[in-house]
Amino acid sequence: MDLDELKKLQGQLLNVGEEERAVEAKTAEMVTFQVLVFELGHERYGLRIADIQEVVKSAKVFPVPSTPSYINGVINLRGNIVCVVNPVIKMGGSEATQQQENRIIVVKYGNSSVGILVDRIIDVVDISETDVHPLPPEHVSPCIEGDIRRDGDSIRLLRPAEVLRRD
Amino acid sequence: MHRGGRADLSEKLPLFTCRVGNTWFAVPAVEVEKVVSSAEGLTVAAFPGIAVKPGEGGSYMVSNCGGSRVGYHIDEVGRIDAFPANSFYHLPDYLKEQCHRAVWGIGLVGGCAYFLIDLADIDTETI
Repeated sequence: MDLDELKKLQGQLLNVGEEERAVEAKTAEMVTFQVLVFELGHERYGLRIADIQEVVKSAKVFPVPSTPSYINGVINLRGNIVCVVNPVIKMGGSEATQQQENRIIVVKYGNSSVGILVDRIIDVVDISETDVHPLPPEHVSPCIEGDIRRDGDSIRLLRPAEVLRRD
Repeated sequence: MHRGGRADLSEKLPLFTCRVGNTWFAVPAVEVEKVVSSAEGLTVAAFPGIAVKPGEGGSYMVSNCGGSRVGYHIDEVGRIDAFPANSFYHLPDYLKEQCHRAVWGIGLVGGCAYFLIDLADIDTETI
């Protein structure tokens, strides 16, 4: 094989690599998932619909004595006691909830269900993997999968397993 | 004799309930001897999440389980009653490890939450 043939072969291989990358990018664009967007404090967060069991409206939260500050309490969900947490406090933030509608997003955590108390449910949106951007280094957290920018808003996509991980 | 204990929640529960601060607690009624206004002569203890404040009013729920008489500081006596079966629940797994070990159940009755306490898991102190 002479030099020209080698260069030709190399060119063909490069083309194949580019095509594969283009297909991968296209596939990532096409893989969409739904995200429930909600407001907590003054920030917008998102949870993959696949992680959510249900959304509960206006349940009475009973505080539990001698628990960490991020535990709001428990609710009675059709005869099941479900612990309710504030993810912002769990992630080290301060309590700045507005409690406009008092909705609880119930997610599966191991064998239990855990509720996340939020101020307001915003919407359910279709997101592709390419819409999820890495957080700036100063905001990187294991609890946040990435940042979704949509209509000028920034939505932090939560990883419930990390957010709810027991101390 | 074992102090405290954890009842079968599927059965009707004769309980003594009391309020400390904003929280209602419940213990098996058979473990409560009486309620007194002074801690004199008692070993005192506090329910989970509540600081012992001897001499600051309130009363003491006296339990003599385990051979020693212990006074638990309370603000108000609630019901001494048999609660309906299945009105009390074990704590969810997620909460169990993050709560005081003495809290082992919760009852939601008439819009009020009662926390079931195992007196054996409460540390006591002598004053």
